[in-house]
Amino acid sequence: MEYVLKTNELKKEYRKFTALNGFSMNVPKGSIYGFVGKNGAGKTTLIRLICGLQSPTSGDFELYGIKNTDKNISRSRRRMGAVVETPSIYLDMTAEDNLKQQYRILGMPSFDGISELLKLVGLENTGRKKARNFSLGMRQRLGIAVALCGSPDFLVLDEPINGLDPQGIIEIRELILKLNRERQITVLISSHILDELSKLATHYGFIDSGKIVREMSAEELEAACRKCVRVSVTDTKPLATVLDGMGMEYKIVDTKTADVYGKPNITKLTMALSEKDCELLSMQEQDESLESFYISLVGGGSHEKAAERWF
Amino acid sequence: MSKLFSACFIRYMKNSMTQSCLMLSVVLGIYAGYASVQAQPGTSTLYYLVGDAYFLILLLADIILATLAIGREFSDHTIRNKIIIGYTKSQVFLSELLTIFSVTIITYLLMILPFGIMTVHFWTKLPISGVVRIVFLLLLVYIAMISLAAAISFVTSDRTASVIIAILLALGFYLADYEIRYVLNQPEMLHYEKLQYDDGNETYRNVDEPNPQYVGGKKRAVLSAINVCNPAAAINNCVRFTFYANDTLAKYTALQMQEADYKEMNRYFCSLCGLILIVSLCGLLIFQFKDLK
Repeated sequence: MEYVLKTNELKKEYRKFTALNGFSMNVPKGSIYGFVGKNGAGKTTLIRLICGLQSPTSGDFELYGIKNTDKNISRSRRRMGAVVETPSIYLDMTAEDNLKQQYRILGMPSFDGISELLKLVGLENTGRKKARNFSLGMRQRLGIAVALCGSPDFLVLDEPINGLDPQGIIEIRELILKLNRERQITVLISSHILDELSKLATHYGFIDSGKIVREMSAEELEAACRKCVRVSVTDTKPLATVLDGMGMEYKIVDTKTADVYGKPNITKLTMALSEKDCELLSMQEQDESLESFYISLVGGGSHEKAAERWF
Repeated sequence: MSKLFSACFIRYMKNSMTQSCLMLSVVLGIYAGYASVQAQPGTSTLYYLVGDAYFLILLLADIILATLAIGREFSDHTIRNKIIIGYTKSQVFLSELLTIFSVTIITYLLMILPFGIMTVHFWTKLPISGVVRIVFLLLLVYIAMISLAAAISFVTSDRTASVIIAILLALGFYLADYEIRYVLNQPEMLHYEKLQYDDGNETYRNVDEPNPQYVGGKKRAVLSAINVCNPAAAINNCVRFTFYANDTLAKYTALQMQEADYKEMNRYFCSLCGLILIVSLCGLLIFQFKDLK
């Protein structure tokens, strides 16, 4: 498999804080790679490193097979565009002027393609309106348009839907899907809004405390977030014994609840539980959401303990 | 890098702040020339002060333009666009620096040309080599101050902080020059007449005594060295040289003072070139190792 980006034990330390700690990931070509992590996990730090804004403390990465320490890395960077945190646009210029300025910086011989780019991001009717008067969604779209100026084949988007209204989120999502399908652009998108990523990403990288916890494809994730039956009983100890006897896979949630994978025979289960003086209270079919899968990967324990202390 | 430089230059030229600065230069040049001509008859001292003040106004305007323009690149995060697409930090720094130098040269020429044309009768009294030296030395002062302002902007990455620091630094240079020149211009000996009573008669006796405010030795050498590196001192050197066009003020033969002033101007040329180089290199090095957001 060809990879656009490969990081190898990347480390980034600031004075008293380690943002990335031995970070290794691989972004396949043509994928939409969803980069998932909570606030402060290291997502933006990684993006700053691969964009050349900061240097790693140790480790390295390869962009299109060229190492970051290689003097030819600038050639690889010409093939990428990025929106890091906030869109990098001149607020005192119009949308068209912003793109023209980016064309000049890239040294492009003419301004052909600007109108198509504006149409692609839905800003063709902004006219002489300066970017400072744009809404947040419009600025995000202009930032993406600026990132697309050099016809990159790798697009890095750092939390592009932050602060957007539902309409804005839909527009950005459809734009990203369009770019990936029609122009075969590889997209690395970081977010902590899991449901939105699940509608976009073909590959996932889960990050926590500066390290990759798990990398997986969308198919693998779907298999992991599988269907189960949530069973509520008076006591899960006899339930566990019964399910072991039936050869069923299960997970105990708490003293009265368990998730049973597969389709248990309800009659047999009820009869077996009643023999052990255990009452079946309810049964409910459900999918494990990306959210619960993520929590199970990175652990929600620290937050629960904090909540307990507070209350 | 030429593409980056031309993109930066076009952006500056389209910016309303730059256009205002260019207009200000023309207005200052015309008004400085007009005020100089008006003040000349019988008020030759006022003439030179007027010229000095206008150059200071333009210098401050250029400093504000440089710091705000570069600061905006950081606040709008457009600096990182250039790095993301493959330009190195050195290329980004140098292109911004060269762009602001170019704009500074244009504003300077837009001021000096009308000023020079309106006061041509004055400049023709001076030797041409002196005039050329003054013009280039003043330009070098501007570039030195702008390189400082640009370096401060890249180091602080903050528009407001860089404007304040750069303006305070520029005014600080002027203040330092006035203070140091006051100290250096103190005579070694004080000559005065002292009233004394001799057998009931009032007589005056010539007294020569050491000046307590005179600074000599190593301290004097240090102060002189500091002043040679001071861009504001270079401006005052140029202004002083123009005194020789006015015959009523010259106390020495013009030829003797030209040689001494040429030597001093050459020292300023070297120190200002050194200042530009050192400041630019320091700014570049700090920016290279700076983590951008």
